[in-house]
Amino acid sequence: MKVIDQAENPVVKLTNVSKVYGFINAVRNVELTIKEGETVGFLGNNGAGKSTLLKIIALLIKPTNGKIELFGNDVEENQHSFKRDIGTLLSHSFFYEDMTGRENLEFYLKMNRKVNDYTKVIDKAVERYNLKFFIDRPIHELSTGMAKKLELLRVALPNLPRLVLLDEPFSGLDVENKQFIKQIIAERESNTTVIICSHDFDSISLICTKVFYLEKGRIERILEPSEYDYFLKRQN
Amino acid sequence: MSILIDVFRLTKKDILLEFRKRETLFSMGLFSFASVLIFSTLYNLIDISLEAKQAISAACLWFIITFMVMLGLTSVFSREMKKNSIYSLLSLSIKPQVIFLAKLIYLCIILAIIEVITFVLAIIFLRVEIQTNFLLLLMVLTIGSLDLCVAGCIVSFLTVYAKSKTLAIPILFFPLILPSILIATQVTTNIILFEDPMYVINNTLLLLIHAIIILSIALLVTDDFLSQ
Repeated sequence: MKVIDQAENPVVKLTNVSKVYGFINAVRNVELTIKEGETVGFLGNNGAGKSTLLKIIALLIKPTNGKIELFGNDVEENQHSFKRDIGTLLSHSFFYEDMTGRENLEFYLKMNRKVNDYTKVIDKAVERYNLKFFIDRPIHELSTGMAKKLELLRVALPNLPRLVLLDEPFSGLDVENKQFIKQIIAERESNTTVIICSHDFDSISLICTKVFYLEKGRIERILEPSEYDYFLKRQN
Repeated sequence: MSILIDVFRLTKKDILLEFRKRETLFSMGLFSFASVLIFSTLYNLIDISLEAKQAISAACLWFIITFMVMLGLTSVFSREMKKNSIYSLLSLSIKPQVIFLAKLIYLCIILAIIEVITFVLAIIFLRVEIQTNFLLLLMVLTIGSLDLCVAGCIVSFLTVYAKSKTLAIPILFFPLILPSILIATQVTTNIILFEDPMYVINNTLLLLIHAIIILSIALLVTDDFLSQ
């Protein structure tokens, strides 16, 4: 079953996208459109294809079939230039363990060249989110929660990506850290689009204005906020 | 210009990380030191002519360099693959060729550092004598090592997603570099014993062409290696 969500000025538009790993169809004929400024969720059980779909949108893996359009442009050519506008947080860390949080953030900011005064951007964010105590410590000395906070800062530093992709951002975090993630998402620029991938409907239903429910690599349903309660009851 | 800056930044990051832990440098250095000592001890046990010793020394030198490159190869993507996160590099707004070049330069730098030490040890223990042709020897060592690094780097890229790298890297690496090692050994022997500059230059050019061909192929297909 194909589900098409019509939208104007899409930030993400996938047309008939599939990904096959050997004999496994991880993503099957997905068609979706996500508008600028939306916060949407990919919901599904383990192996439903959420993370693969997220990686395809993040341009980290190539789909077997289908067309990807980001910010209104086909991404077939010069994929790397689109990555400047995408912030991706996957379940495993992108940070180098022997570098400090500041060195890691500086490295990513320099490589993506969105800002000139990266030191100022980092200092401002560190001050704003009270991360002074561990920004200058090597990543391997930090707890999972602390490291994830810094990772989120990499993904969503002020004025940076137009598209933020978060894969299971709440897993393994305490209430305080979950709140921190929600705060960062809430304080983002109004034109920033956020896609959150999770199997936990409770977490994403509070943030997302729309949820794509995936099963066996397909989008089975698109849930609007008015349907959340019904879906939650049905799941329980 | 921006490509060069990106290459510089990526290389700087790898070098910085290597100098913080010094794991690869230490293992390469230790291997080099141990190998030179073993060969040197062997020379003292057998009675052969100085010429034969020098010819064998040239082969020993390239044997040591080849295995040092092998040791270096394991660290090329180790930091990214530690947490299965090659995506940390792929998420950057850079061309895949930049990643290849940065990794290649990183490998060349750490190899050069250890080669200087090995070369000094070889002069002391293996009696590699350099008289008038030091520049020729330097040229062969530089181009030969570059050739090994380019071949090694492409193998590292090919095996970036391989589960058994320790098996895959030697299987792919040795057939690719075998002709280069043979040529480099013959050329080095020639420099030490016969000093025939034309022979040396012609064969060194072959090594350079080998390196350029592999580098060109690598730059053309890097994108597919990393994103498939």
